[in-house]
Amino acid sequence: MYFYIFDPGTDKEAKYFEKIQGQLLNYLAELKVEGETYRVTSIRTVELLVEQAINGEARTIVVVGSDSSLDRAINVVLTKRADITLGFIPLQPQSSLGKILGISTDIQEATQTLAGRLGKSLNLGKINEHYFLTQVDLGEPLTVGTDPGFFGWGGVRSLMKLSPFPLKLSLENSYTATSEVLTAQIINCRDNQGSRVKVGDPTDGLLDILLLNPMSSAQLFRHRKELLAGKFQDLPGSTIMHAKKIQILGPKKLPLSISGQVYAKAPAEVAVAREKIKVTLTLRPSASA
Amino acid sequence: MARKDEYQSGAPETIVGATVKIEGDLVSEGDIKVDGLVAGKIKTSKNLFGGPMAKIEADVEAQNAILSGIVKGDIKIKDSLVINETGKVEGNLACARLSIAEGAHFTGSCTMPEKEGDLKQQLSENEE
Repeated sequence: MYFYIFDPGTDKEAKYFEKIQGQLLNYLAELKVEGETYRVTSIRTVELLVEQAINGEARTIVVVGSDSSLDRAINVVLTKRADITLGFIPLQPQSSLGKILGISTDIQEATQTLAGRLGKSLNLGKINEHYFLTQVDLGEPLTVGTDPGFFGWGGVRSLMKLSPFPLKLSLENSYTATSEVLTAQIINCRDNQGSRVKVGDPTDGLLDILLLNPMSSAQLFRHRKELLAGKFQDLPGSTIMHAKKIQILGPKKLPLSISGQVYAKAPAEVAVAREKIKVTLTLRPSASA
Repeated sequence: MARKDEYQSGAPETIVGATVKIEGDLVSEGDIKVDGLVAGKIKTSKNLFGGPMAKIEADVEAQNAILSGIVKGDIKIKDSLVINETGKVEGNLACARLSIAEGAHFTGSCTMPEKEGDLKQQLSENEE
């Protein structure tokens, strides 16, 4: 049975959301994937509704909302150890999870993906007790996806404000890596569109570690496009390592964040979770090329 | 979602940047490229590339290796070892095929089997 959780978020106008919800319900009925529908409110949170669906013996929970809505649903499903397949219909035009899973932000196409029922088990990363599908930013996260301004100057200015720090990691309890970095990422899964080097395969059982070396202003400007897209792997001199378990040893109190929200501070451990999540997705080449 | 064939052949490549210092056992199933400092041990079933700025103070095991920087340690290569003109190697070599460019430094002994299979067998026995 399908269980739909509609999360309008905080910035959606009620009329706009109701229009989308109406369209979506029509598509779901056309494709014969309709089910119970619930709407998130200030009292009925994503977490509560996912728990309700699990208790109601739902087999598939479809989150209609933002990346954050899906992330919250994933955490409840895994914490409850429920045998559930998750579907996702992104409402944000810049949804990174939508891009990763190859799900269009066009509601009709997203519904077709759902109706295709192509399910796949994906690895997750875990930081403390929080599961993540995408990546952890170490230190000040770059303002990825924002408007870089005229000729990229706005973005470069924000990059120049970053101060290098001495990062120390222990990987697999086998070796330590130390380096002065501007920022670093631990990636489980990412949208590789436009990247030469592909990282973040959520089926290889590894996390990819990217370290960005300190750069001169000229280098920052030259590589602003890759930097502002968060794709350090394409930059000359970047470090790429792979591990199942990473301990962030220092500097102490270094913030570790997911989608801009801090979940832990160093020293901390990030690892591939034992649990996997089943999601419906599309394997269209355009989603990942 | 990214397809598997978009990733580098087999396991992904490890790149140790010029500012990075690694201490311990760097073990990988994929290619390793070193431009920084590695102290301890490097082991891969694929290829090792040591850049001109690399400083490797480690015993090395790999399928093939191309070294352009400094290496201090014993090197066991199952197939081909190339030391470029900027390379400086101090240690004992064991490999099936060896190429040392003019200008390269090499101090140590070198063992090469008459048949290629002999070295692979010898290395396998050592691993056991």
